[in-house]
Amino acid sequence: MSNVTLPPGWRLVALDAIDSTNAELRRLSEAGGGGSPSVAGLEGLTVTAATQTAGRGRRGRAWASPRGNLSASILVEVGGARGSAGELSFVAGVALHEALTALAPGYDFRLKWPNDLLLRGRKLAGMLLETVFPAGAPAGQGAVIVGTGVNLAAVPDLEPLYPVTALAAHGATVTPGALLTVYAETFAAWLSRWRSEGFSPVRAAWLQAAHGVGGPVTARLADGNEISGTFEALDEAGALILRTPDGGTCRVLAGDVFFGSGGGTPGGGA
Amino acid sequence: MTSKPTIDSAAVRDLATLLDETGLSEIEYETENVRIRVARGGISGQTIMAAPQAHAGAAPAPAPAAAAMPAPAPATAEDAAKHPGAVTSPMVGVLYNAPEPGAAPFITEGAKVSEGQTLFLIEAMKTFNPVRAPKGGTVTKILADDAQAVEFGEPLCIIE
Repeated sequence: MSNVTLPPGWRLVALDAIDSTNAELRRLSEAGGGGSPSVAGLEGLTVTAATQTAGRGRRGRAWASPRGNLSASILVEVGGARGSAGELSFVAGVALHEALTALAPGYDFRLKWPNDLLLRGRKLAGMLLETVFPAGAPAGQGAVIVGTGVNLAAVPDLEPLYPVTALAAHGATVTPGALLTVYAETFAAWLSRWRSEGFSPVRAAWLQAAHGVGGPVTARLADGNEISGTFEALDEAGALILRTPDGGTCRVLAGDVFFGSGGGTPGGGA
Repeated sequence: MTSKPTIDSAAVRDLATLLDETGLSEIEYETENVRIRVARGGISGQTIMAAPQAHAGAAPAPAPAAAAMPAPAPATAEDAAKHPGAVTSPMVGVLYNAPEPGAAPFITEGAKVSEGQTLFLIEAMKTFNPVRAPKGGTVTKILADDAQAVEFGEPLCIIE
């Protein structure tokens, strides 16, 4: 990857091919800088690869990473608060939305709970966040690996759950290096704001860019149950509040979300 | 409420009635022995949970998650949380016992684990958190089910 500029203090490890940028960043961070089990001082450590040979999504799903698309993982220190790590999903989503909007103005990018990015209803980008609390690390030292995949040039042939697209298919040309430069900048800015002002401004920005709030939604939960209703709100921790037809509400912390009446096509082709 | 390992179904029923009458989405009732929370769920009408208080001084857990949570018998869970070998949940989220669906579980009862070994994964807002063994030993009991919501401080397994 060429022509990448990162914020002050960030470091780039640019690879041609790797199994997964998240996995490589985990290996680097767990090894620690000098072999000590600590993630302190590793904020902004960024791993990119021109292609991933074993890219991953939620729950072990494959994520294809053809050349020309962005695969990047960024390490963020979160101290000891695992509970707030989920808020980073939204910090990253808002930052990516802002970066793409800056590079491809006029395109209506939308965020899908919690942080997929959609273009005309199709998935353009996905994220996978994983915490790192190295065994033996001092209490209060933890980090989150924020993995981001963006289909810039090519539509992946592996994404059975949702319809997918790529930016090039809509007539916009953005290189991975150009996107990483702007995304790192917006991400650093939103991180700083999140740390000083809390989740509230992040949540507000997410809602501005979100798809489907107030409309019909179906959440497929980890245990296989599906709940359908209205996407009523994003709560203070980032959970999706779903109002069911009987008037009750469900707080969804994890799951696959589908929009539209009838819940889109959950299970279709999966 | 006594410390008998039974759920006070009358109390739960009263709270559920109160929930309907008031239109609230959640009611929590606590005595020194037990905490009962009755909340509306969307899957099968109401999600009813009876859970003992977790760590004293622990951060308050947010409202219960949507995934239906099977209620552990109060006395059992209470005992488990106090067990010196209890590994408790560091966060609210959905628990997984394997790296991906269909894969072998991270641990089974009777298995030997080493310090730092991954025991479970917990997901919230697409952030995945490995729960690691705080010490080496034998897994004598697994207390949490796969693909279900867990609360902060909830005992997940016991390592002795």
